[in-house]
Amino acid sequence: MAQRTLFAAVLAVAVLSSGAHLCAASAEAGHVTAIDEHQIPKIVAEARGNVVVVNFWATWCVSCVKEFPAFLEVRKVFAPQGLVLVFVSIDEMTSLDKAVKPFLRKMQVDFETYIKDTPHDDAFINTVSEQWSGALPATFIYTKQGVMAHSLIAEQSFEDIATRIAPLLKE
Amino acid sequence: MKHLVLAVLFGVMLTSAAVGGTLKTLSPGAQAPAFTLTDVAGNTHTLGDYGQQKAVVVMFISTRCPVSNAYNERMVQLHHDYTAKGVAFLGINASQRESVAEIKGHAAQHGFPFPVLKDVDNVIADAYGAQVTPQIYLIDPAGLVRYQGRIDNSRNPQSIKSQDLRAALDAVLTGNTVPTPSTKAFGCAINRAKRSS
Repeated sequence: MAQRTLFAAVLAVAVLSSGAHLCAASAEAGHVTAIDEHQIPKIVAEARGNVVVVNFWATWCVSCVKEFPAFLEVRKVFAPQGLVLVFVSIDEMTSLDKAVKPFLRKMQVDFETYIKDTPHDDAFINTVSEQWSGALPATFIYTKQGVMAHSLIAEQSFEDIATRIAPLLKE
Repeated sequence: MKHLVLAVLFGVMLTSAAVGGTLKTLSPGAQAPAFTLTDVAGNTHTLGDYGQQKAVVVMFISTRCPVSNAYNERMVQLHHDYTAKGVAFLGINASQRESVAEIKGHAAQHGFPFPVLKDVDNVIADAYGAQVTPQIYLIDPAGLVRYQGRIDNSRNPQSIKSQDLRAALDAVLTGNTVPTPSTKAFGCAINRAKRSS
């Protein structure tokens, strides 16, 4: 009887813990932080020691939406090896609640992502790369030392990204 | 099998590199590359055809890009406001996904008063370094690029704070220095032809 009670207690704690975890994950789903041009270098710098993939996307960008699952798959496969995936939405802030968050929820994105919140598009684009025109989709891959290794201004597949990050993860 | 996978991966890398971030847009002051392109009605246009104009506005546009489409009415209005002042407007569609028939229907639907030329295999987009739609090149009578970049600062007409193309046009037409000769804006990457090298 005591054993059965103990088992029930353990089970209850497990269920409660699991529930709490699910609640936390649910609360985080679709969480989006607004950033301006000054935050991009900080985000990359804070992830130093990892290979960082920064993908700029928008809900209005058909190619961005199409390639989005490939990035999630890349994260799933390579995050344990030291990959950090950073999504930055270029949607207008007015689209955050009605378009960006619903899309992220649909994609089951349960980690922090970002949205551009600055009227200075020139500065925002140039902070990332002087060579970038602002064309979407755009993906920039940084080495573990924080050096930009690849700038990809086109729709990417899982293979496109994987072939580029695999060597960087081994460095 | 392993060799096949490696070959495919290498091919993917070459293809992506060709459409990647290495393309550089023409800087203001550069000579605008000559071109000969056909519009959706089958007429041939060369840049030289417009040599007598006070300025030529070359607009890389798209039928499907929401940002480009947000500017349809503004492009028509610009044509209306500046044609009488001696400015020629040319749309160029370099997207490999957009057919001549689609471009023709789109131009008719939106009442474009300017010709829209098809840039097959994005050869002219490559020559200009055009990467995004819409992207503008303002060319003076000497054939020099005087302005490149966006039409204005916002796809939302209510949020426009900087009429960059109009400011550049006014400067060129009055013989003044273009205040901001190069700008950037978010838009859709031009869907380019895949090349093997």
